[in-house]
Amino acid sequence: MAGGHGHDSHGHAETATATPPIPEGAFLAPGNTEMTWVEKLYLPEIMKGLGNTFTHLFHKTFTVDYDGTQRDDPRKFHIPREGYRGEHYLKKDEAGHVKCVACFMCAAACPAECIHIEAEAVPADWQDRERYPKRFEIDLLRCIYCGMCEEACPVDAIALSTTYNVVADQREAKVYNREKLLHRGEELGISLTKHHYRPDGIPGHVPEKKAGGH
Amino acid sequence: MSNPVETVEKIAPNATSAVYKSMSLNLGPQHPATHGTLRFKLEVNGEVIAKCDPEIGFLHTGFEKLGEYRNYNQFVVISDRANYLSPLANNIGFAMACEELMDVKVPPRGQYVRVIMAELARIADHIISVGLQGMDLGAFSTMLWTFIEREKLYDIFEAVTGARLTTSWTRIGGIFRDVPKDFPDLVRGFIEKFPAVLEEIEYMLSRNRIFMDRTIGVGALSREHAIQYGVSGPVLRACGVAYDVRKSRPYLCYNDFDFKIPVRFEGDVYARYLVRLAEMKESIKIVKQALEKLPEGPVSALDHKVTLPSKDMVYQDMESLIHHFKIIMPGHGVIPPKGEVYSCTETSNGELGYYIVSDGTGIPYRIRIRPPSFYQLQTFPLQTEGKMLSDAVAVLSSLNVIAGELDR
Repeated sequence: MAGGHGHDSHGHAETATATPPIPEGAFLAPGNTEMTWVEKLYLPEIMKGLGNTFTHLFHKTFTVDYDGTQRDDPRKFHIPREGYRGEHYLKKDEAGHVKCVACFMCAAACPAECIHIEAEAVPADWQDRERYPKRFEIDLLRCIYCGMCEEACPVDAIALSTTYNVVADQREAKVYNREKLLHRGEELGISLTKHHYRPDGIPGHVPEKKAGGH
Repeated sequence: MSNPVETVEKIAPNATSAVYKSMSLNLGPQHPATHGTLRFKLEVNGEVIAKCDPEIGFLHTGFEKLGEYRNYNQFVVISDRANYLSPLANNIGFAMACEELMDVKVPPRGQYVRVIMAELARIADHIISVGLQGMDLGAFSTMLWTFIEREKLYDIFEAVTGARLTTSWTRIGGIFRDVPKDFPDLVRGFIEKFPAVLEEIEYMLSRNRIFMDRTIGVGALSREHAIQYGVSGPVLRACGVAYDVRKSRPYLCYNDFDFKIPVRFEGDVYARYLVRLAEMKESIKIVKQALEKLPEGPVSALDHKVTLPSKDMVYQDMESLIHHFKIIMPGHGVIPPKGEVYSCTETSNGELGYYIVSDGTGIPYRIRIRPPSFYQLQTFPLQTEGKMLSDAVAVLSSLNVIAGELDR
């Protein structure tokens, strides 16, 4: 403790004597540590601060009045831009089959290890590939929404929607299986889109605003 | 200005001596001023702290161990969570360390975009730090206004990265996707309005007597101690050391920009506050210059042994598909040569270092993080022992300790 005192007084003495030279490439951050007598009076500053705070009453409100119901209204619900990394969905091809070819790339890329796939040989009438996922599960409680599965998919089968309102009252309800993931895409009207999100302006999926879906 | 300790000694001459029985007091882990789960075991004599013992284990995260089970690209998501006030800066720091290890060069556009986002992350961190500093000293409304600014920044981050907080933005060799078309407009829209907000915060805090009384001369750290303890960032620059990794070991394209390092010589809480304000203004300058010069072109290295080829290529071109598979499948792809690297970047809190040891496989042998806050927290007992209890709160918020990166 005594040592602490010693160092402290030493530091003060050093700064009080003279400002050391400013090193090259640096500048003294503007500021004054001395108070004028008006500032020492304390009341003028308080009035200044209160006055400024008062003007904020008339500023535009920045927050949204979230109640979770009016999902088309930007004043009630934050609507993310395209390219947001929200809940997953699986896409379908023209024949209405799941696009996924069960290559396990998304499962390998996933840092949270939340994707579980079981592959199976396709039914005889599917001409375009050899395998499809018999079981495709994403544990959204483990998922960290990093988007690496979407990035890893070589056939554009899995994608992240802009849905961020991810609540459920059962743990089991947040483990999405293949049907649920396909259904999510249908619900949002984006299960047939061909392009993933691209920031260069070429349109990808545009989430449809409709009642029920979010 | 009267020294509070002297005042105490005048009122109660023996209060700071061991004659009086001291009381042990916990500051945290559930204290609003700790900004995270952080505990200080304090021995107090009256209102004077006799002994201070920081305990960091309440937020053990195990990031470094997790790094030994994930490949290089997957660790980016973990680096998000180390500093939850500026995850982008952490992403960039980690990706840069790997790029140095693998000798990969990021194209100019990638570097410029990284610089812009790193500086925006610095502003987001500093503005919250300044706001919380005000809050801890009783100025609550300023904190709310600074949070509005951060929300605006998070809107930009959301448009660019797809997430507000857990950005996971960089990949080894670049960025996982280009910035949106309206990115310069978004950033300009923020940068133009931001100086007015800074002015308002200065107007509210800088000359406020309560704020000045609680900060000037409080937690003064000498230049020698700061260097001895390995302190970096605004806390070090407030002690008069012009050390900034952006200048001393220029990375990305920081050499292209005209900016200076703000310093103060007092080393106290007020000086740190002033340095942070000045740094935000310098950051605005850097962002403005970077936006003007923002080049066209790819954002990631075109070496597809390291970065993923574009999706259009993957859908059409066999070779690209093979590259794509090899990068993602374990045991192929991003494999640095055997060796080790230490790379550091200047984040808002100071020097963020990543030390990576590679054994020539796809998974790092060891990742060590040098978090800036950890070194600043070490000086906390030095700054608070023998001082008033209320000063500890002011000192802690000025150090801007991020509990998430303390116990990795």
